[in-house]
Amino acid sequence: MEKLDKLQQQIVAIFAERFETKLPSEDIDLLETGLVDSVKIVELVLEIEARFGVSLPFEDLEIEDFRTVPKLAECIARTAPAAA
Amino acid sequence: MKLLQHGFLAQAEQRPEAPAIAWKGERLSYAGLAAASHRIAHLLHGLGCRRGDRVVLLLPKSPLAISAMLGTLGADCAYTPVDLKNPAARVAQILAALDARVLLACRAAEKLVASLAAEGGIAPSLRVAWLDGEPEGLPAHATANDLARCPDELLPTLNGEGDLAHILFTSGSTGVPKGVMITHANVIHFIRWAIAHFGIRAGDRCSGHSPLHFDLSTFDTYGTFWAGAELHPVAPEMNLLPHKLAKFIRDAELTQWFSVPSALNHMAKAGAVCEYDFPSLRRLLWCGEAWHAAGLAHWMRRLPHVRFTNLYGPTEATIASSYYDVPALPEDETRPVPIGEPCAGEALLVLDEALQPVAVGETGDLYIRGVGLSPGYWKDATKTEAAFLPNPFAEEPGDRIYRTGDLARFAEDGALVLVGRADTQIKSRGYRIELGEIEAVLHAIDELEESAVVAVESAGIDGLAIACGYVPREGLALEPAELRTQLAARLPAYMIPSHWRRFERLPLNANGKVDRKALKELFASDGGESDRGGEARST
Repeated sequence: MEKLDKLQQQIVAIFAERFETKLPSEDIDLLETGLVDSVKIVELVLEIEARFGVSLPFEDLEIEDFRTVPKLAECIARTAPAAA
Repeated sequence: MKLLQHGFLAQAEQRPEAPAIAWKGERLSYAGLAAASHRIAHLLHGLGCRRGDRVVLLLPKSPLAISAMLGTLGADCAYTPVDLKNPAARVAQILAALDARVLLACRAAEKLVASLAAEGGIAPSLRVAWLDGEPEGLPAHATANDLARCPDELLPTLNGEGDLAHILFTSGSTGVPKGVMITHANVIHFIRWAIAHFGIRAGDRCSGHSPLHFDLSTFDTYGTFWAGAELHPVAPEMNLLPHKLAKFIRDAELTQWFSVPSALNHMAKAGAVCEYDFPSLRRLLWCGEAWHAAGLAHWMRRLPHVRFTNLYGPTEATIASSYYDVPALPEDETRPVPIGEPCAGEALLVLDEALQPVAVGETGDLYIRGVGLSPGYWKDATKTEAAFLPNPFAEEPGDRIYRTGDLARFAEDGALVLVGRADTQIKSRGYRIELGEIEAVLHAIDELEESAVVAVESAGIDGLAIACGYVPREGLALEPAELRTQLAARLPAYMIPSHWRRFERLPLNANGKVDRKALKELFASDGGESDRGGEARST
């Protein structure tokens, strides 16, 4: 659980630093609000790969993985257990 | 058949069990969709809607939204689909401008309607109808229960072909979105041409990629239904992952794809399309912005069995005014793909400042004349008169030409080629954006001394990215994140600049105006990267 929390904090930090966006809450719907769109998703994946030293092949990702910060953290932890 | 719903209703009559919409594993028949739309027409009538009233749709892309469009037409009213991603302030602007009679909403719009209500965006005269569920604590003049009790029979209509079918809002340079009025006749004319030209017929499976608040979606919807074909709306989140989008085309065995080029480039760049992919696909049409020949060639090499067509036209001229059936793989991938020749009933004119035709090879302003021309902008005679001019070559009074704002020239071989814009409107990932609208919102921010917005080429983004240079009021340390938050309350996400730079003063030209060219170059020298660290730099 703690490891997941840490991942979530780092994702929030990516939004702040990379996209100049303060997320109003961790469970905000990133897709409905357009905070993640087709351009940002690519940058987001590249940034996650660089920061966590993991590989997230686009073919293996599901749209729902990007719905919220906790879901994204779970996805990273699942895809690359070493990151968490 | 003089109304937009007539071609659909004829199919529902002749082939009631044929599938009209495929959505998330379910199929809705023509008869089923007709019944759903009739119920909505009765609901609107019961809420006091009469001929010519405006109905705003706050519904995500779904069969429900499409039945609401058809139902609004069935009640002799005009609809305006509004993107749920819009901030409440912008939706309130649209509702007020339209003096809308009814707002059709659903559960997915609850938060937005709550914000609208809290901000006073719901006028006392506006009726709010919920097509699914019954939200607590929100205005609700009708709910799903009322809808279920409505008869599923056709409501008699009084409308004629010159009446409005929908009003679509596009970015406006003065900070207020413009409502483009589109008549039944405008759309019918285009889809009749398109069905004949492309040979769309029953058995076709057509994509519904464009968002419903975009003009292109009217071709998806009515082009498919008038042909008796099957519409496959693409859920917007599908665009996020190019492999999913490609899989969607493959699994649905689509025969026709129509989208902005950025969706196609996105799939190509991710390597999501292989050789001889999509064996069912027969036609690939694009519109909304220029597709570079290299991107087109990438697709043509992989899909030799597909016919590729470029459609061109602004919302004001309804879906498209010209077409270019690509005859063969482009020989020179550095040259622009032509926009081709006019669709039936349309004319494209390249004129100089005195409204006289320019010589072949010379650049001029592109004007459109023809049956697709909108009557103008909703309740805005000034903007309408500025863009829709009397035709200088007219033989009949009332003949008009529309100034597109695009610059174009006729090539030696007669093909029409776009060369740029005469104003600051840009296309970013298919979205039509007036930079002036973003600046108007920035100028209303107290903490800002000065600001300017320019479009810049960007490595990661298809097309152009929006860049903002700004000067905070003296003594203030204004961060881009703060400005983003303020803009997000007024503008949709796609209009928010991705590149930011703080200045002590903005670069000026000899006339003392902001030097946009210099500003662009400053952003370009950053290598087109967004301002990652958030640290403010000044010159």
